[in-house]
Amino acid sequence: MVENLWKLVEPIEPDREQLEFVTRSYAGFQGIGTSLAGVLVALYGAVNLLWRPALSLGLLPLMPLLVMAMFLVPRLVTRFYYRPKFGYVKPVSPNPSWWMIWLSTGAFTLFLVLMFKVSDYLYLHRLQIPFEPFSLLLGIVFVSLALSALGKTHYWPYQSLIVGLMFLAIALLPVFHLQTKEQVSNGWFWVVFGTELVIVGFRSHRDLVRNLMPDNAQQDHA
Amino acid sequence: MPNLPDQINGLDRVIHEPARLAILTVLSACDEADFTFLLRVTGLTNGNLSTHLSRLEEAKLVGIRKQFVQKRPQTIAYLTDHGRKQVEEHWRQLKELRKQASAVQRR
Repeated sequence: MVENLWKLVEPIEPDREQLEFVTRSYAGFQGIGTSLAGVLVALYGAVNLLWRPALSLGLLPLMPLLVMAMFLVPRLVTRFYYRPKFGYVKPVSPNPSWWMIWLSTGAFTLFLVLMFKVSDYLYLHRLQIPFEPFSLLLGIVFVSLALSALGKTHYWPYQSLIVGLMFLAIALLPVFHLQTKEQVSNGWFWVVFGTELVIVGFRSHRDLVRNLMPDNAQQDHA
Repeated sequence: MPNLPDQINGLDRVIHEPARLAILTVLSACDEADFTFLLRVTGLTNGNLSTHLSRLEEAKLVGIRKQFVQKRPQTIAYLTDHGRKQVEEHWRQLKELRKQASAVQRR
């Protein structure tokens, strides 16, 4: 009798974990902006590769604009696409998405500063290394992250492994004289990085669409 | 400790309704959410969601705020302090009931 009574109660429970997960991860799921930023980054690398004067001079003056675009584009997409179409959620305070934004911006800036410092050091000391150091470094970081989490049910370690291997591969292109170090650091590096952002963005958006119901605003009038 | 049927009967009927519990669960995972997000995440229709939100507001579990964003009206819902406690307590009760029900089934 008790079991029958419980059966009446249990099936009407909504999926708590799923509802909480979607709500908490809503900001992270808004990936179209990340993808668009990724397109800009990949385009920056591609122009550097394809347009010879850009490769030698570098499109470095455009870098601040690129960083600004990476920050602004996702916010504009959230405001003009996600908010009207999927709604608005204010995360539980303190807002973790702001921490993520500041953390990722800080990490990116630190990476750029390090890149310039190491470049200066190599140039000043006339050091010759056969590989492209930054792609190699990022490759090692991504592969290490992936190996530390392989076997878990998340997909990110596998994605991290693929990206890491891509960075390692382009870092070694100058060793085999397939591309110059300049082509890798000013071109291929940004192409791989941008492509990764595009893929991550689309995956996040797909997860959002899968987890939310279709727009049923018209049902009432049906 | 009350027995299982009593505990099941003792569940708060305002909260223990699938759509309302879904709304409350979503709101418990954020500070506030708007009507559009609640529609998309729960799969309810406009009318159903409005009715459930009004019921929850009457029970003082949820607060409703209306505002304009880019000249468009926006309805924001949030859990009251009382609502937040009640939702947590409700999920705790359900977990306890589930545990007891599986113990009864094993006997």
